[in-house]
Amino acid sequence: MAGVFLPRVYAQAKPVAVIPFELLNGSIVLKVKINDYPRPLRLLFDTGADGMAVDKLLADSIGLKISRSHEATVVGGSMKIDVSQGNTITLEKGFQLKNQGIAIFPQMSKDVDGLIGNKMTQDYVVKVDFNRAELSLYSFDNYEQEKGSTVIPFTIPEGLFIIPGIINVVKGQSHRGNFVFDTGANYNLICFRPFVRQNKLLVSGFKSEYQTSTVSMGVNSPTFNGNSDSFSFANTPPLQNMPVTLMAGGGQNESWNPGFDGSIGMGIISRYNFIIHRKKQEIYLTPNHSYNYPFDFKLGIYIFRFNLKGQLEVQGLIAPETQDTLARGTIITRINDVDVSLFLKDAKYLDGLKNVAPHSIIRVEYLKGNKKETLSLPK
Amino acid sequence: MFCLISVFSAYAQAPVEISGILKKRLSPVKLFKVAEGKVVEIANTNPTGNGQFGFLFYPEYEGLYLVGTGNTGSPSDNYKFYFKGGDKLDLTLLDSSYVLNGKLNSKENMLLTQWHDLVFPLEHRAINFMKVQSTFVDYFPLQEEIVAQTKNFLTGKTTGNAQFDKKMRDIMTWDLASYAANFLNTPRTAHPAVEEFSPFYATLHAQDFAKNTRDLYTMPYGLRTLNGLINVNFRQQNLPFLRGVDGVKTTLNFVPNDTLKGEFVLDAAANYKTHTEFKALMDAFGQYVVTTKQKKRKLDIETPLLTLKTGEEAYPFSYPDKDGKTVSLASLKGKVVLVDVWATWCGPCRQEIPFLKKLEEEMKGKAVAFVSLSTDAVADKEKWLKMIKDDNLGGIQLFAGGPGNEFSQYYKVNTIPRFLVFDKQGKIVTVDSPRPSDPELKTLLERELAK
Repeated sequence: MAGVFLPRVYAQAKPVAVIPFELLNGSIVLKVKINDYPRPLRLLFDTGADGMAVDKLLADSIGLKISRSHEATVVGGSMKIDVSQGNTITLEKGFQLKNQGIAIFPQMSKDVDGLIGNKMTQDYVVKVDFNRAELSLYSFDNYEQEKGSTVIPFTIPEGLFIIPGIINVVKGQSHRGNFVFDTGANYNLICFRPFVRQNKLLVSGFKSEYQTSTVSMGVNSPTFNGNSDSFSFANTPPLQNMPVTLMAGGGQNESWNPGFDGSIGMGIISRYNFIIHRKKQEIYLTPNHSYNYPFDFKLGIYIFRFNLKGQLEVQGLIAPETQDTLARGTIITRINDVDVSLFLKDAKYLDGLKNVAPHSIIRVEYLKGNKKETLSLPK
Repeated sequence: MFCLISVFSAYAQAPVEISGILKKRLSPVKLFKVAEGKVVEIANTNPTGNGQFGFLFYPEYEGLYLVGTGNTGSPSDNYKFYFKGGDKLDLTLLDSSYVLNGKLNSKENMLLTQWHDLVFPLEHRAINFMKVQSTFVDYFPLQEEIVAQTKNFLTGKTTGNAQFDKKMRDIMTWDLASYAANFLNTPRTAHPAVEEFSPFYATLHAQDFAKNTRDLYTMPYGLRTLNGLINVNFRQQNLPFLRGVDGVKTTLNFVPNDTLKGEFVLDAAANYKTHTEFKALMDAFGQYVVTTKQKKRKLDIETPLLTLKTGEEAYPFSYPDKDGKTVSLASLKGKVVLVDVWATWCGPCRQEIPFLKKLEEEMKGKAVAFVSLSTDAVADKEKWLKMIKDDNLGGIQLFAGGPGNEFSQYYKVNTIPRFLVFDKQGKIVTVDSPRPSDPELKTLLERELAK
């Protein structure tokens, strides 16, 4: 009898649902329906949020019923948040999440219709496979860890997954911190203001490449971007020369205390296929095809990075967008007459580009529709 | 005596000659002297079409002067030079720096220029902050590097002028302090916390710069630098920034020299709007106002405040309302009058309007006139009329005819909103009352009504 059962014990249980996702500017976007509202909605799978959220305009169109409201405190003031409960979310292929709460924010990002937070990890083991662009749900019973994956233990204070990490902004200066596993974040790693301040990360030899600002938890902060010597989290191998984002002070945010030291974003996470097992408080990581892709890099006013298809695309701009600038997501084919696919094959090509003297003119060939065009930009 | 006069007359016979070219947007070039640690303009000239300019003057003292296109309030675009009788200076003023020309410049000014070249990256970022984007992330490491380089700057460099050579050390100390303080005290896109201040800040103690009047009084923007250092020390010591007498008291703790204390007392007094505040300050610290110049300045500050004292006759204003009908203070006799000086573009003024409306509603039927006096420019009169209509503004709406109106001048209204209260007889109650958002204003109006 035992012989009959053994293979089943070690076989992976079948997923209860397999849902395709779209990658939009490097983020995981699920197509869902809420209640009986006919239009399919695109929600960001954001593990940095502990619940689902849409903006007021959409909530009114869907006809969400407000069950309760509460004052959410943000630095510099408070914001009334309405919550609608008892909603049904239908994922692609018909799988339903019942009795879901949805927070209603006054305004949200324009790129997607809202956020689907990490709530589904309470009911299912959630697997994200970037090779297949699929999100699979498994029941907790009998779920087995996949062979060869790295186990990342986490804690869950305040509904978010917190992972210990070590950042060396400058060689030889190690700082331990606790970071949120945040699929809603578009960068590699951001260190929040209290951690940056206490460890003097901005004033101990860090070289800032460019300055931006970021809004997190309602607080707008100036941020500095540049390379870190290395970063590792839990028991993963260190990532060398990784671009990192450090928060500086700007008045109101000096009294802001998020409760953790920063967050690990999609720049790192998307290099792995991952599984979140909330009951065991473990994440399982398996490097995927993009594990060795170069990190994002800056040229002139653009930040470029490789998407999961191995294409180089415009991730963002560090100057205001104008009619003449390349839109986010624009695919780049050649830079200074080098085919960008070579950047993936041999680091010397990208290093060569990085070593070009500042302010030199760089020739960028990109796709406009199916046509190739070129742009000259000062480095 | 004879000796002194002959020295003086030697100066009188040997003027300083400055010639130069302005290689940036044409604007007047000015010459400044230093008096009591402040900068005073003594001459200005419009350069020719190709930028040539020049000055010929008899120096009042041997020491530091400034040449540039800036103003007396801030060191940006002004450059320090040392003059004694007979000196020549030939320079080109660039966008945010300068270079010397020719071979007739004095040794003193050649050394000052070498110094300026060395510290220029700091000056550029700390002083000309409007022209260059810099935050502590790039500035602090640069400052530490340049401060270290300055230690050997004077090695082997003497001009033969013992008075200048001694002064040069002071100039270096004051310049570095000025850049460090100015950097932190000017607007930036990101700010450091105190624990992130670089090591050089730990060496800056305001007290070291306020030991005697001689050093500070002869240093261009000396008082400004000291003030900036006090501000930095406040933050390092986590001291609260208080208003009024308490604020001055904390500041004076950083100023060991009594005469210099007087300068800070007078600077505070110059910002006061009422004689009551002025008197409270002088009762506490009037003993530090000691020099003849300080006493004269005190009188200059006090005289206009005296006419604005409680019980004094109010300025007899008379302005058109929204329908063009003239309303004068005299026509409101028998009522307590609250005047709100405001403008449509002023955010803080608009923030007070709901409170003002509420106050007016609460005091309906009582002998209080609510006068809103717009200081909008004449060109914006339509905007004013539109806002009265759109926002349903109450009370008596008057148009003063621009920010330079007589009412604003008489009551020294430099910032708005400003609220003033006059009694039933048209006499001053206060020329700087609490705002409508402060419940104290209602108490004050009720107290006047009861009289």
